[in-house]
Parts: sequence; structure tokens; C-alpha cells
Amino acid sequence: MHLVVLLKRVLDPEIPQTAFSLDPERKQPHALRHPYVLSVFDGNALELALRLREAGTDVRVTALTFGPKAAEDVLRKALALTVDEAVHVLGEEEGLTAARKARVLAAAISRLPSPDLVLCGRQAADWEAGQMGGMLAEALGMPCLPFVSSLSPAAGGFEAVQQVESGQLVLRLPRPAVVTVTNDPGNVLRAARIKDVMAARGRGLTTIALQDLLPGTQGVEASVETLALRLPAPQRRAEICEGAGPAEAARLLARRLRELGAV
Amino acid sequence: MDFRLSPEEKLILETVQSFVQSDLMPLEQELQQAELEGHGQDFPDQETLRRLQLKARELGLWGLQTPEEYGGLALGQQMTALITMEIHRCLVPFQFGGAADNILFAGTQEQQREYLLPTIAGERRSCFALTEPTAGSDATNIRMQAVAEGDDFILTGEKIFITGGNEADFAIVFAVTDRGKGARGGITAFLVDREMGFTSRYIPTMGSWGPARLTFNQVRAPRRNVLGEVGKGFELAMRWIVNGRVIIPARAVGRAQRLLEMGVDYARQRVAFGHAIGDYQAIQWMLADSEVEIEASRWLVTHAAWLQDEGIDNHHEASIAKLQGAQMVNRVADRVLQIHGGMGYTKELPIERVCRDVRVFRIYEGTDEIQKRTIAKDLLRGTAGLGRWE
Repeated sequence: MHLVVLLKRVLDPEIPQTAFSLDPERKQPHALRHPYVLSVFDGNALELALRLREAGTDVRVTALTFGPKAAEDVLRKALALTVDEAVHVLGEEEGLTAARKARVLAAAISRLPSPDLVLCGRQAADWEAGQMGGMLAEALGMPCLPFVSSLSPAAGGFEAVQQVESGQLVLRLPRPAVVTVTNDPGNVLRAARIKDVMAARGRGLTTIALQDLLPGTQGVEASVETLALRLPAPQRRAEICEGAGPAEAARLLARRLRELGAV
Repeated sequence: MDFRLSPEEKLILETVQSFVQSDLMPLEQELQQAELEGHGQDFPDQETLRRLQLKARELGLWGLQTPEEYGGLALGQQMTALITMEIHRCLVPFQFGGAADNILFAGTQEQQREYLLPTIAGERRSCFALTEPTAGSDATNIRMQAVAEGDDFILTGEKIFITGGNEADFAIVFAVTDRGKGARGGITAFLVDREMGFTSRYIPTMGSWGPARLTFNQVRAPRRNVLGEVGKGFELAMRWIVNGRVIIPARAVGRAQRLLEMGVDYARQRVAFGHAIGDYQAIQWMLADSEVEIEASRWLVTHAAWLQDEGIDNHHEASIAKLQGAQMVNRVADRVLQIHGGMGYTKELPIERVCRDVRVFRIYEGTDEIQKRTIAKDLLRGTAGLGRWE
């Protein structure tokens, strides 16, 4: 069985709000001194892939990323977490729509042994667009199941737990398929074991230049121009709904929320 | 000159941070409660410590500097120092398992079987016994006698301020075997089991460091328990001490970093006269001074550790790092307590405890004054900074 996990390197979303600023020239966040990390939901996806490998036999996990040279970091991390292969599509993703990025990733996946399952985070922790899973599934001609929190092998495919507003659905998923993964206490990405970190030191990445993957970059040229990028003006308003007890406080809170049009 | 960590080094630190965050940090509340109830010194107990060590072992964090053939990671001093900084950002006392005093590796095969391997496995506990009531900084002046008698040595004397001495089941003891030669060939290291007859007594201190006084009254140790060679004990002692002179300031950096974070948080939140106190220059200067000193210490430690990894004599740089780190953490602790005002002085917060705990950094493993003496002597001899860019 072959599992492909998409990993994205993003600006650390945990940096303090006060440290976050925008570069008006580039219309991008200032990132010179800020750390980059693996997008958190992609980490959940990687954890599910590793668990599927542990639960089965002859399961291989390939980590795939698209981005500049520095994006290699997330693949190094994946190798330290013992993925079997790491593939880097080297190219600039800035200005590409999600649909075009999906084309790039689909082309990269088509060069790999046919996957039984492609996993990605439900949304990336930078722009939070949440489009990649569906668009990639379309490009690959596979069904897509979003908001999956756990997976187990089942006859002909997988059994997936999907988080929905009203609770959880347990669904049967055929293979091949794409899933987008949401966070859950049960799929927190493990820490790399030190010996695996050291063993990964000598392991190579497979690098594919974007130009080689899609010659002439037809259809994947930058197609979006950011005209303006602004931070929302922070508004500090605080009210405390005090009541004689929890029940009264809750009633007051509910009334206030209605007054504000929040509910 | 490249100050970046390699991807592997970053990943190792990530794993350490993950362990600190998920396993150590949650215990801080318990420690604070224990402190309020008057038994903070006993936290964590040996059982909890062992459980934490085994949890860390699952991640491969075991025997950081222990050679690979002994099941360790064989990490260099620089990586060990960086890990130490991370671990000491948490206020819960902790050390990884799988470690042994560096000089135990100098033992014979039989000694390694009997002392080193069980220590690495956590089955036996050792202590390093050099300091005496009349010979602390002046370690060349120790008086404990070891008199040869047939195939044995008879040890008589007292050791004081011995870390882990009350819990240890064997001690690495330094005693005079040739008074005429003194430290130059007259001091020998012995491996002495508690069953051979030494006794220990806990010494209460102002902090959580709980050393012991060891008494040797005609304790008979067989000649096969000499560690290294007869008369070469002082060199072994120095090897042990220099190692600590890099690790102690690394602990200081971790502690100070955490305290500064607490100070910054409080300066943002605490309002006085209509403003967050961080808006006032008096508080800003305390924060800025602390940041500058912590950064200075971080690089002094990292450089001294790097020299050691390169096999370059680092005693001068290690003394600078130890002196600066020990003084720095005390100043930072005092400033952060001051920023917290009355709250900082209470036992509701851990700051007063850290203030008491870090005071000993300026005393053990070479006092401030001994570090200064070393640094000054190197300057006067003209050896300071030689080969700095080699």
C-alpha cells in the first residue's frame, strides 16, 4: 500500500500577534526572523499515515512538498519521522492559485507509484484556504473525504472517522482516495526519536524542478496578484456578564450575544 | 562563520521541547504545591524521576554523552549544552537517564561492569566526592588519607557538600596517597561502596540542592577499586570539573530565559498608574539588561562547548562562561522578582525559589572567585585567547 502525505512549510502561526507585520512592498508577511514550521494539520495527516503503516504490512509512506529550497525542512522532519521517501517539487508557489498548485502536486504524484491514499491537512496554517484536498482529488480523479480525524485499513479501502458539526461519522472509503485531515487528540504528530533523527541525516530527498515536472510551466504560471494586504484593526472591547450564579450568568450572556447580533 | 543549527540539531531540540512541554511542564503546578506544603525539595521523588527518564528514553533521550557502545547518544558538548538550556526552561528538576560521571569511563573492565554499566542503567547511583571541610576551592589541599595496607587502602576523613551523596550507593572519592607529592602525583581516586563503611548525612541548604557530608572512618577499599592510576586522581577530578563548567552556565541560560519570559508576560499584563508596567522605562531597562546578559551567556556557553567538541583546551572559555552564567542568572532572577513586586516575593510564584536555587551556581564547581583567578592567571601568563580563531 502506498500513502502520499502532502506537507507544507508555513510561517509559525504561534508567533505573537505583536510580532506579526506585513511588508507593504511584497504584500507578504515580514518573515526575516520568524521561524517556519510544518503546517499543523499536515502534521496530523502525517501522523495518520505513520499509524496506517504501523497497522499494516508492506505500507510505504511518501512525503511530498512544493516550494522553495527552504521548504526542504519539512521533508527533513518527515524523514526523521521515518517516512520511506521524501519528494520535493522545487519551485516558487507564490502567486499560484490553489487549483494551479493542485496541478503541480497531481503531476508530482503521477510520477510516483500509484497511491492508495493521499493525505493532506484540512487547511494550511498560513492562508487557511482549505481548498487543496478537493482540488487535488479533482486533478487526480479520486474521491475526496474532508475533515478526517482517524483512519484504519478496511476491506477494499479504509474506514474513516469524519468530524462533522453534529458529531462524528464513521465511513467506508474506497481506494484510491484523497482525505483532508483535521486535528484530534488522537492524531497529534509524534516527536522524532533521536536515533531516527541521526539515521535520517544521510538519507536523500528526491528533488524535481517545477520546470521539469511541467515543462514551460504552462498552466502553472502566477495568476493571482495581491493588490493590497492589510491587517485587521484590532478592537479591544471586553464585557463581563456577571450573575448571581452560573445559570443567571449564562442567561445574561445569551441575551447580550443576541443584542450584539452574534447569535 | 555560520551560527545556524543543522536540520538534525533543530530536530533534536524539537524533540526535547516536545518532551519538556508534554511531560515536564505539567508537573510545575505539583512542584509549586509541594513547595507551599514545605516539601518542594523532595520533588520529583525518585519514582517520578525514573518514570520521566523512561518516558524520555522512548524518544531516544537517554545517555546524552554516553558513548554509543554503552547505549548512549554520544552527543557533543555543544548539543548537550543546547539541550540543557531547553530542559532548564522548565522549573522541575530533571536529568536524563543513562548517564554516568565522565571519569567512570576511565575504569578497568571489571570496574566498568561493577560501577559504570549499572550507573548507566540507573541501577546504581554514584557521587563525586572531592570537597572537604577545609578544602573547597583549594582542592589540591584535600586531607583525606588513603593508606596502603596489603591489598587494600584504608580511607579516613570527611567529604562535604557532595551532590547526591546521601542517595549514592557508591562514591568516587579522592584521597591523599602521597602527602609529599600533593596534587602532582599524590592524590588517588577510589570507587567506594557504601557497604564498605562510609556514612552520609544530608546538609539542609537555602535551595533545592541537597548535598551530603560523607564520613570515612577507617574504610577499607580494595586496591582494585583505584580509579585510573595511583597518584593520578587530581587529573581525573579536573576532567570532571571542567565538564561541569560548561553545563552549569547552560542551566543558568535555560532558567534565566524562562524567568525573563515570566517577567515580560507580567510587564505586559500588570497595570499601574493606568499603564502596563512594561510601558515604564524602569521595567524596560530590567528586561533589556536581562536579555543582553542571557544572550551573552548563551554564546559564551556555546563557544566553550564547541571548543571542547573540537578537542581544543577550553578551560579559559569554560571559566568565563561559568562566571558569567552564574552571575547572570542571579541578576536576572533578582530583576524578575523585582518586576513582580510583592507577588514575586511570595511562595505563590516560583520566582523566590529560583532565586534561592540559583545562588549556588556562583559557588559550586568553582566559585566566582576561582573562575576569576583562572581567567586572570591565563591573562598574566599570556595564554588567554591563544588560537582563538584556530
